[in-house]
Amino acid sequence: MSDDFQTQDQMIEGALRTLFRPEDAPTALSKRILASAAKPAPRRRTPMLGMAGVAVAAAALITASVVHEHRVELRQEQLAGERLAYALQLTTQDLNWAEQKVNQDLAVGPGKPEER
Amino acid sequence: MVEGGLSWHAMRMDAVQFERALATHQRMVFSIALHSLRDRTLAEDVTQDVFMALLQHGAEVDSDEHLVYWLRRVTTRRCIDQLRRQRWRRWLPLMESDAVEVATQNASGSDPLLSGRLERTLRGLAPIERVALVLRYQEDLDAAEIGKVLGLSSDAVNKHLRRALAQMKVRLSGAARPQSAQAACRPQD
Repeated sequence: MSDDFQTQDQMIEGALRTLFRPEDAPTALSKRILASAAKPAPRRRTPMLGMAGVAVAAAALITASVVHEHRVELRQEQLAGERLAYALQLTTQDLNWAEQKVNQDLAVGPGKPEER
Repeated sequence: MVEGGLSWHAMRMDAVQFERALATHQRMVFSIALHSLRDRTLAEDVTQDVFMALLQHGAEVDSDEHLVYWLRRVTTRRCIDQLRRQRWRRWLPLMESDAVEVATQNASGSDPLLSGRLERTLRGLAPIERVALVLRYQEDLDAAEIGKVLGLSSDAVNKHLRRALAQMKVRLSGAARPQSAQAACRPQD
């Protein structure tokens, strides 16, 4: 039984050695590799381009956020101005009404309040 | 030499050294990739990738032994990465006959049926087991040497090799059983 297993092991190992026999690479592959090697470091250029792209994108993002913040501040200032103007308008109306009332009272003169 | 000559970066490997390394070790790198991946086109791509990496980092290599070790290490890593990627992405090669061609070419001088079965069984093994088998039976490395290349202990390599061979034995005997059973059931003349 163990002899059978040993024979089977040997058979598999033998078949694997045959299956994994080293093979020559195609001639075209050497040419391809040498041609690729002759190019001026293409693999270095790609990361540099990528990094430049990331830097440009980051700069654009920062600029956009600064511009946006500036716009928001301007809008807030504008709104604050509008609120102030409205408040002043209300105050002016109140003051006008009060002045008018006082003038009316003065015109009527001293008397009973219910006569007014 | 390629037309116009090769232009070299200061940190890159020397042109003459690179061409010598390519001429001497391309066969080994290509064979490891071919036998691990069982796909000629992918093996060519991996070989090119490995030599391009050598071109970039070859200046770190200080001796012939170191070069062989470096090439084996980088090739096996690339193959394992490729095999792991393939596990998630099942696809048919553009040249459908590529895989079959590998088996048929290698089968010359051996039992083609057994080679075909081995081929199918190999495809079922884990990437690390396939690569360990290739280093063992193609490069004739022992467990310690394989461990050095794969970054594993000798015990771990032995475990992978034993498991791979056991799996192959089971699958091969499983495939052989129905035939022998059929032969036994066949009525005798």
